[in-house]
Amino acid sequence: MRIISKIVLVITSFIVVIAFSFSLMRYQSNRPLQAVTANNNFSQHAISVYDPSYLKLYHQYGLDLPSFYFSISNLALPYSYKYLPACDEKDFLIYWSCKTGNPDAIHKVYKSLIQFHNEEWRIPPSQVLQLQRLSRELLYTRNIDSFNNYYRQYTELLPKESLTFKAIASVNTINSSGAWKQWVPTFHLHSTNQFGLWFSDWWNNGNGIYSRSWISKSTVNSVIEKPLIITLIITLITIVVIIFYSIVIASELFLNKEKRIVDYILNVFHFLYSIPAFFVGAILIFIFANPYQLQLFPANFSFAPISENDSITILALLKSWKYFILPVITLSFGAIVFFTLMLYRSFEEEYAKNYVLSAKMMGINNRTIVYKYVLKNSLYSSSTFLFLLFPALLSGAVIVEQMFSIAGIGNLLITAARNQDIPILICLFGLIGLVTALCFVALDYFQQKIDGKLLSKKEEKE
Amino acid sequence: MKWGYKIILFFTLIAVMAPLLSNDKPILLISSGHLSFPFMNEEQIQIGENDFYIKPLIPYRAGASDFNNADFKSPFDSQNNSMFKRHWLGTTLRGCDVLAGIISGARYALIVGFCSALISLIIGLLLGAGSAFSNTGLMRLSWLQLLLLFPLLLFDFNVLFNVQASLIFKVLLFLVSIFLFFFIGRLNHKSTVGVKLNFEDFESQLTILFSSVPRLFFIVAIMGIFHQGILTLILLLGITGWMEIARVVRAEIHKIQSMDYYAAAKLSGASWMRITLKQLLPNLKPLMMAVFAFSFAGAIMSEASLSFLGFGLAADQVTWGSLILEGKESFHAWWLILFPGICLSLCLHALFSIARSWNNDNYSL
Repeated sequence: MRIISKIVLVITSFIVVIAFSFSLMRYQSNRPLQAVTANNNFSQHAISVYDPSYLKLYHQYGLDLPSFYFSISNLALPYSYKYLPACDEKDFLIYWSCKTGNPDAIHKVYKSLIQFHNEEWRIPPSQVLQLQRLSRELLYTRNIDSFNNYYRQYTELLPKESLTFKAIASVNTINSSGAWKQWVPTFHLHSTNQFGLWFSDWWNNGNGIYSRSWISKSTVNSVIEKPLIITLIITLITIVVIIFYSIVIASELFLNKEKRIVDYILNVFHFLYSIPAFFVGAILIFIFANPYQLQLFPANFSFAPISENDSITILALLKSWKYFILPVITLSFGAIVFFTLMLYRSFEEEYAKNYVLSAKMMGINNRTIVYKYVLKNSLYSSSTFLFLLFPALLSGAVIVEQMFSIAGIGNLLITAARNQDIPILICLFGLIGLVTALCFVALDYFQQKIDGKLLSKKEEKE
Repeated sequence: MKWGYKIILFFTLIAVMAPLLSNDKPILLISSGHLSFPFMNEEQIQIGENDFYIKPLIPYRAGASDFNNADFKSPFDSQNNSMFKRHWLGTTLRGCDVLAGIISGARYALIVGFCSALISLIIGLLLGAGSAFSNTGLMRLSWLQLLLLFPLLLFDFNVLFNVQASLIFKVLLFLVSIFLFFFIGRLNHKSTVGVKLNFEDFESQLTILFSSVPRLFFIVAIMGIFHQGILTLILLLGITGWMEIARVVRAEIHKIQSMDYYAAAKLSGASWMRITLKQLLPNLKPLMMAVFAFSFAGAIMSEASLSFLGFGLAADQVTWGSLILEGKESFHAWWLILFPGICLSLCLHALFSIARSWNNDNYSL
């Protein structure tokens, strides 16, 4: 039950994150179409704002629509104000709709008044001026009696065969019997908005134009697919490296009998923790990938066999092992230091417990105690960190991928942010939000399970 | 005084005195008997031959080019300058002085870090304390109120914006509807059926929502779209940094509430204000200091990373991250990576050690 509620929460948070990012990107300061019209960074103003084709494109990409659209109105009014014409006429319509409670009739009257000007040739010239005056009075009067009066005069003067007359003949004499309708509120959610169009398009695998990349004009899924796989590979390798090395380093430090050396190393680790990842990466590139220094490892990931072909094969992955070394070290450096310190602290806590003492009494080797029992119990307590490692590494991948020019998610994010490629940005936001939320759910499930295990063990003992 | 504070004080002094330390204008100028301080003004000045002036220690402004020493002059290279005009920590591609850049970087790092940490501390403190105190169920809605909430909101909106009536009548109706809402709650507030609108739940949902997109990811995407500037950066860093603070503050207040001295103070009839001022805040202080130092360091690190990615401050504002970025582009300018990196690491390490000194056990950093 708890898991179901968590999953519902994940879905809602996913939608809220996407909606939030969408509305943020809607209110951007620059004009969004710069990205659509520009083919590269050097021709930002490919189409002038005053060009008619600019408006056409603006309409084509649905940017003239609101980002979200719901309306709160009442029974007397039409559902939406969107299709209403300009300001004065809108006032007229709202006013008379609320007074009479009959929006359709008012709309027809309004349409007929507009149509009148197109049918002047049917009317005798002597009456044209009078009719024009009457129509103006009708549009702007705010008195129900005078409106009915003008309306009657207007219909009497119009020739019977004109379209205007036929249109408004169907409308009965307007009365205020429906005025109560204005007090009944209605809520209407409209589907023709930017977010709705984008989401339906994305759901249908990018058949339309709304969820395609504004730069490469290809679907979001095809743009994200390969970077996602590369980032996932690097992140997974990094996670394995972090867990392995931090466990080994922490256990060996803990088993070391020379406590002065261990304290010294721990102090060094405390300092290493405050070194930012990009500084580490820059130093690594400077030393190990520098043609003037040791040129041991390549620094440019874009020359790796894995990123040259469109499809990723295991052979290409194995061939490009050299290219993974520096990025993985950079990405895992801070986390290894952090996790080692954390594990060491929880080793100290666990080692003081009674089961260690009894194991010692039994004559079990100290190394076996640490690796077999203490490590297991301290990993339980630091499982929070392990589950939140994945989103943190995705965040760190932004820097590392930019540094080693890896065509991953982080690099995609940066290019999309530079070019204001909003569909890609929104999709990345949603993806990362989903991954993080899933990690939270998995963490919750895991902790619940551990608690259940511990509880059942306690119950068995009792 | 511990050495962590000394380092932060040192960087703060550098940041405060940055225009006095590195500037291309003199600090003090006496020309024809008239005393002036040109370093405080923006406009250019002309120095005559007979004028008396005192130049700053580093006669360069951060980001100003010196084309005599362009193309990455190392600190040990021979430079086309006199001894007093030497670039002590080398130059960049355009001949900008690295030492001046580091001083300006200290200024930006400390301003951005302090302000955004303050913003996140305020948000986190308010939300954390609010959610810790709201578990007594201050806001409680009955089922009738819950049923009426959405229709009443719709009705009020419709009355205020869509109905044709006089303004006084509209406002009166609005006030009456609000009164009605609370009156209904007052009528059946003893009913067991109902929903407790818990601020704690709301806060935890908000925390999950805000931490679902990683900080750097969020700021890069937003900074690419909005104008890049120091105010935007401070606001974004402040808004994205409060989650941990709120969580820790909430846990700590819960812990204090379960203590004996808190119960004793309550039993002795101390007022709410007295309990807050005498019991809660003094016991919360160490944690607040630790958390503030921690988020200060996090903000500095994020600012440097963003500058390194090119999404931080504007291009003419030199920071530690932008210096390292420039050093990374060239393969032999080690001084561009090393000196700003050491400054950054020292600053972060000092802040982390301050945070660690304020709490030893209850909050792992």
